[in-house]
Amino acid sequence: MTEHYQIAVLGAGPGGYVAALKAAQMGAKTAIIEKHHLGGTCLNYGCIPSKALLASAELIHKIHRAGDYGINVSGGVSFDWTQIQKRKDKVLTKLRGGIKSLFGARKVTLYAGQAAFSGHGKIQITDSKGEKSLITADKVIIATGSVPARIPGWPTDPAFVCTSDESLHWKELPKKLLIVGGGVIGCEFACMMHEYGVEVTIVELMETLLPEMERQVGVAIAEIFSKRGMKIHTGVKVEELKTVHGGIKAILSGDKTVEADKVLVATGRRPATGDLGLESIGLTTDRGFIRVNDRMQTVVKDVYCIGDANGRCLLAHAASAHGVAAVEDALGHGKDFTLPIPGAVYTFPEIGTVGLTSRQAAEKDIPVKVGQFPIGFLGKAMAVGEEEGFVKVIRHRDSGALLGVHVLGHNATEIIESATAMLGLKASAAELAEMVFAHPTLGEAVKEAAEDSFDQALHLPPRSLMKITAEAKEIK
Amino acid sequence: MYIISIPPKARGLTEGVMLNWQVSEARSVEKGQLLGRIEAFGQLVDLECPQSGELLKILVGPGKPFYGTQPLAILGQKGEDVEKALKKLFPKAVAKPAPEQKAAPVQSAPQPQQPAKQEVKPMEKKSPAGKVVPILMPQAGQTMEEGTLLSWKVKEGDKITAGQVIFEIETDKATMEVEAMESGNLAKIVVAEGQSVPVKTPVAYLADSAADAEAFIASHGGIAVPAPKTTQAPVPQTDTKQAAPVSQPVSQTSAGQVKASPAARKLASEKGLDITSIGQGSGPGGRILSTDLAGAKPVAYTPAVPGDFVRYPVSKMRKAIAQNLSYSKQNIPHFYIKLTIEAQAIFNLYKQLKQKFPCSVNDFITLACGRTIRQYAAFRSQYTPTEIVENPSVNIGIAVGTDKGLTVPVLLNVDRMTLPQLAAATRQMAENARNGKVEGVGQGVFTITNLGMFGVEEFSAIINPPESAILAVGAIREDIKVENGSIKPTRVMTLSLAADHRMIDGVLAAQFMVTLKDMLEKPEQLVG
Repeated sequence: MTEHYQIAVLGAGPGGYVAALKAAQMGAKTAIIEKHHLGGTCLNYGCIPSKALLASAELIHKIHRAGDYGINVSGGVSFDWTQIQKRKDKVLTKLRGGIKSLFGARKVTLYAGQAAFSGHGKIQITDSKGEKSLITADKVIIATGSVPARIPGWPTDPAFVCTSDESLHWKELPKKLLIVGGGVIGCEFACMMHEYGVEVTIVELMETLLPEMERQVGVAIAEIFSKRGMKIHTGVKVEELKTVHGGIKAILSGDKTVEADKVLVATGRRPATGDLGLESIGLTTDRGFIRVNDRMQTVVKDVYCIGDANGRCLLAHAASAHGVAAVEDALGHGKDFTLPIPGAVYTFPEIGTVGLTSRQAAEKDIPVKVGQFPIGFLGKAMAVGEEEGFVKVIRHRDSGALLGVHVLGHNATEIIESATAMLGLKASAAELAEMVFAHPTLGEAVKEAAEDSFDQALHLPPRSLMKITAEAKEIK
Repeated sequence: MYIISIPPKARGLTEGVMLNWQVSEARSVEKGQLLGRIEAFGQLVDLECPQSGELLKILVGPGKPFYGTQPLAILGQKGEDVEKALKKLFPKAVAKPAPEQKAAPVQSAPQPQQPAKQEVKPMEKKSPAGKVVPILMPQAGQTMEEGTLLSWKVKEGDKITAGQVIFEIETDKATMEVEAMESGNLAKIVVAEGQSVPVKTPVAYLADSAADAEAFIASHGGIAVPAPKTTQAPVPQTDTKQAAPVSQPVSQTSAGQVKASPAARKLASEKGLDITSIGQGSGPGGRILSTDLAGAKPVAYTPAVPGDFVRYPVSKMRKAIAQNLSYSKQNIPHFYIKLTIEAQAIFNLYKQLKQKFPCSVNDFITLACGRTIRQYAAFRSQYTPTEIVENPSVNIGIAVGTDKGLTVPVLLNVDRMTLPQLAAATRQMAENARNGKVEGVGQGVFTITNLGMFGVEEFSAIINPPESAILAVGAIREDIKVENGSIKPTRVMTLSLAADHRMIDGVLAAQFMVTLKDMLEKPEQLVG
């Protein structure tokens, strides 16, 4: 007596739960299997807890500047880490409950347990007690996500060498923290931990922080962090790491040493597809990633893979979009998924980015024109005292097509939405520049930057001409 | 050899985009010479050459971004080996592969009057292994979308040589023989005689063996083999199982508008292109973008846009007009007399009097007509086969155009009115007519219709039954007259009388017009 479903989803993270709700909305009998908490990495070990902790940190940061606003906070600022954690936990509980009730409302059947294929269309579920049950499904969507990568050869004691899984739920804060990896997770952690009084050092292998993003953004955020007192080492590798009593000691390239209570390894994430019984359906992986086409189809018929597990874009909203694409295809309404996916970094100031970076455009041999506008020039920025950052718009030099928009600034993650919409519609930079943006807002900088890409920004003086003599450096 | 870059100490210049280069590669440069211009935030930077030499290689081309002191170019002496420098600078760089060999151009078949045998070389695609070569249905002609394989001239297993005719195809325009581009073993035929396939679909494969060909086909996702055609009709199939036709249905929004970006619309309108001729655009959901306009056709001139006919019910007024005037035209023998009068006097008088009371030139004409009609009884009489009926009252109808149609309210006893009275009565009457209140209908003996306010010089009107005549008045216009041998500017107005010849004869009508003319050319009589 095995239950049969039209669609079975493995994993209830932002990819899986959205896919399940979509399938149910489209009228399919849907099952979803989750071995831990609903909401996956995003809700439990990623997006949400980090944003909750960052919010408290940002408030501390702002209170330090209260004097700028004419506000006196006598006695300084103190915080209760336990309370901060409790608040974060409450948010998580509420959201998990929200997903559960959505499942109930849409009649999605939730199975608690570890899922594994046992042949085509057959999913075996092992619950926490070890009990096994079997369901069958016409189509299966793999949404099992990813886990933080650890560095082989390093000590594995989570008391000292942590990943984001542990660090978001620390019961106690370290005094000194070494963050290995200057990507999004590393930067967000550095930013918040600094406000909590932790002495932060970031070590990044590439030349700039956030090496995948527009270079100017990485350079700017490094400057901001350095000014605040964080130590940044870029273009440098941790050659060796060992535990010493009470903490760790790291030796960097160039023989620099860093000592800290804890290390946060934020070098990347690897797919969680090892225990899904993929052999029983003949599905092989590429270093754990299950490769798919633009409709999220794997090479095995009726099996899809979405989210981090397919390696296309390790972001929650990408997983959700993939989920919808996969379900639509599974139920006969497929079309290729080609929309642009924005990136968001929740440091303060925030970062929002979508489309090509200058480097990517150069690699594709696309001639560009770049427009830029400093946030600090805006009335709103000055009025609310958030003047850090800039907006950069990259357009195709000849056709005027909008190629990329990169924002560093307060609320950048909200500001980027208008740019993503325009990019998704394949608008030209001229169309973006024509739009009416509300005043006074920070979002206006997007319009100004788009105008600047045509040398037409009204709130910038015309470019001045300067002559310089090039430098000639002998090639040895 | 030297790397050319922006100086490390250039303040505020952390990154930029090369706008242009003023010097080409392999050209000599002098110290101080302008190398190129850089766009950066808030600045344009002219980059000057630091020392003389030859610009060996440009590393960051126009429109390309660079960061910091990234090498922009290599400067050296003529003859130096720039590849060596490149290897030192970019040791890990992989040379970009040469652009793919373009397929051999297909000779487009001339359009024959009758089906004629043409030779066409098929398009070749080089496979990566070089061992399996697909032979494709050629596209012989720009509009050709599919072809029917009429007959194979070779069979599987034959060795074929380049230039040999291997099959014959039929398109909607001609029958053609197709030559092989390459020699080889015809390992597998996949399109049978009588089958129709879209252009550029593989019809056979050259390979060492059929197995190789089959493996090749499998690794390329299989081939979509359309069902064989049962007839040999040259009309291309429109089955959806074929590859999508060249022109796809135009992508439309729910409002029926073509989905296109504003930039595309603007560009299309500027260039006179028909945006609906493009079909699917490359934007999301088939949205047409400004980059899609290359295939657009110019807007076709349609001399008549038939559209849908709209049907309205006939109003009472329209019915009445139709009835009356049809009767009039069909039954009354109209004849026409046109007279151009000197209007300067009346013009001056009008200008003078309208200071005193509101009036119009038409009022003068109406009064003049009134007095003339009193004199000429025939103009207030009606012909019937049995008797002539004469009306003692000079009731004149004034044609008024309303937005519902033509109405003719009637002024009674015009000959007894003074000009001011007449003017006031006309004003009131026109007002009432526009509000739907029409007086005296049916009591008129004569009608005046004036289109002068539209600039009309003259026109012929239709008699309003049971009346016997109608006067059509044109605009007062400037003209020249000859007086005593000299040319003088003047104002004139043309009056056109239509009269019922059953009632009124030509001479009488002429006399009527002369009297009218006199009265209007000496309008003081009207006021006195």
